[in-house]
Amino acid sequence: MVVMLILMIIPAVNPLGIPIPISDYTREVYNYIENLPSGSIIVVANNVDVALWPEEETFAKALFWHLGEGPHKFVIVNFGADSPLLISGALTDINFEISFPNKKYGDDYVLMGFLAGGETAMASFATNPQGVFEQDFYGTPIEQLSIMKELKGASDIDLIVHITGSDADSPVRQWVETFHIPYAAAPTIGWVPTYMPYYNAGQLVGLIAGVQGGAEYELLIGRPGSGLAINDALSLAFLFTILLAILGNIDHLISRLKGG
Amino acid sequence: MIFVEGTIIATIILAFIWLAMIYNIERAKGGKLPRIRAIPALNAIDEAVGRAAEMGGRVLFVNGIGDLTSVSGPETVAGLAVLRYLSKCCAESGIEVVAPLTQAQVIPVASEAMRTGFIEAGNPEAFQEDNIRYVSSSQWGLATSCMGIIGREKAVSSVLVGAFAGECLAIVSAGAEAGVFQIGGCGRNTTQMPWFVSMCDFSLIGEEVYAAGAYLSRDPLELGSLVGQDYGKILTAGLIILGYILYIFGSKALYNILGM
Amino acid sequence: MSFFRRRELYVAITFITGLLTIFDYFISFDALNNTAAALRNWVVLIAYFAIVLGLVNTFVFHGRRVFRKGQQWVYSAWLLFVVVSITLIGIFSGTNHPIYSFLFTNVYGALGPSGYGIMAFFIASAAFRALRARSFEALILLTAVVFTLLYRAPVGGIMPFIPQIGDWIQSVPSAGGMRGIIIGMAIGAIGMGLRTLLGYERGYLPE
Repeated sequence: MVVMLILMIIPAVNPLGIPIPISDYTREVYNYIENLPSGSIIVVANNVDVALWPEEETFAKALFWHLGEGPHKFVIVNFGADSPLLISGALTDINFEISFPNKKYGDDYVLMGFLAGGETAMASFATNPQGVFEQDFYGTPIEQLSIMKELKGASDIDLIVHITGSDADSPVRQWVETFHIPYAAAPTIGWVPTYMPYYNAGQLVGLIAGVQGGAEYELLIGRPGSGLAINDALSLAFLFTILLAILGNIDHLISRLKGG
Repeated sequence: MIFVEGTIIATIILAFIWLAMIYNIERAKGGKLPRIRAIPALNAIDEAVGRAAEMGGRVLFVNGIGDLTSVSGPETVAGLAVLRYLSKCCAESGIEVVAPLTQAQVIPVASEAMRTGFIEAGNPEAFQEDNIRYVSSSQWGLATSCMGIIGREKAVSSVLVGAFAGECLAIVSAGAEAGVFQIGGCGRNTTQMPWFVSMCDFSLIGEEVYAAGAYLSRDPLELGSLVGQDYGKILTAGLIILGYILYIFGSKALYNILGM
Repeated sequence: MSFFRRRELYVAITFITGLLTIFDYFISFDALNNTAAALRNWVVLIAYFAIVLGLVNTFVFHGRRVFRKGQQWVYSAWLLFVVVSITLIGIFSGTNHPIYSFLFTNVYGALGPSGYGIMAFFIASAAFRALRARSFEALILLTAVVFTLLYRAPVGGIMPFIPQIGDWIQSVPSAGGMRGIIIGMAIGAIGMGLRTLLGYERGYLPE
């Protein structure tokens, strides 16, 4: 276990620079956002909790850089109790207000609070985005947020980017199939297999696979960052796990041969 | 009043499944109980309880992280049916069963399931409300709680049935290292199934979880419902095969019909 | 029996609201759609109350343990202290207050991922102990694990054939298996929904 720990610490201290190929499904998300008309409204939906946040933080920050540099507006909606503070922290970490002075809070972007209820909350939000909130995360009444006045219903949402630590069924069932909203998912790596059937069927515009997808997105926006170091650690950890599996099987084979 | 576009065929399929279920429920109530193949993992529950009785320990029951209203509802309900049967077995043997939970809405239902099990065993006074514990809404709170129960509270057998994510690896690993007799399974999250298969003494895979309640209770209602669901699966499989055959011959007729 | 404790009342409420919600998906009719939308908003409100229910259960269980000085009551007392203090800070100072932010980021934000981080060591341990080719099926599992790990490791992207094999595993057998699971689960959910509508599922009903 000490070996595993050392292998994960080394890249953090001294990144190895292992090249990362960019997946098609990550590129599709990037291209979709790039091709949206100016002034489009993107909803960034987040339901990741604190435990899974390190895996999604890379993509979240890269996404906010991308949205800050672009001509689009975005509304951040949180379906997890921890999510508002995590997103607020991400925006602070990249100094969003200072980095993008042309983006005015309330007009170009807004951070809404936690909406409880899981799939029902997703449906409620898509039915009437203005109706489910009375104020934003900071307590500003919704009437004072001009971006929310533009968001009357599902047809006003040009894309949902869902940063998630859960499976695909609920958002696809509600947002894609019921309300026909273009949907890009950014699940943690463990949930990616549940999204593949929907991606293969064309129900997703693209997919960001965990921290690896986040690092790819950093490369696409031209801002390589912590994602690359994390991916170096991932590479070493995965290779070590494979080595352990092989050693375990060698041990098993030796035991069987000795046992006759 | 008109049908929403693209929902006519869905309505017909839903109606078919409903009618199939009602037909089979009534048939089962009339005495024609369907046969379900043996599920070794569920038969092993008695062995798990017997082991705990011999060793003077407790049984740990873990229902996972699902709730009752989302897509994980059926798994959670299946787990609670197992809890009821497990509680009955434990009550008959004079053993405690501990059930840590992560969803507040499941608490009263789980409490009722456990209490009912004790009542059915004729030992209602042995039921302890404190053995139904809300440990945290976090999956890692559940994992560490279960690891603590295994280590500190002498849980010598564990039954894990419900909706699981990454925390199941920590729980079954801790159980395997402590020599706990483990029965486990989750219905939907295929990415966690390898851990149950490789580290539990018995495992439930996929549909076996959903059949658990019917299998253990032999209730005509649940058995009939299970068979009705199988009619739906047969219909789905038939449509997939038919659609594929038509596709090979260049026809999209079924695809167009299903989109109506 | 009091009218409000009759099971039939709860089953009737479940039946009516369930049907309204189901018909809302299939039928375009303003009165129906607006009613279903209102019901969904009520569910959001109820979900907030469910969080409070969890808090109450925590207080009851751990409070009882502290009061009776039961097993490891000191930890229960500490838990209650932390819950109360953070809640009060959040309510009276706001979640943007420096103390709350500090506790969230540096305590909760460190402990949460730590639990998840332990997974790395569990997986390594499981790889050595559990991923052994004891049978043909276990050999297939091991092979799939090795290829998937290589595919998911960023370094696998520069190895020959790994991206192609990994793409195939992910898009064909894995996605195919997932589809089967999704369909089975969906039909299971339909079954549970029907049993709930008809009053056969009684777990949520009072005695």
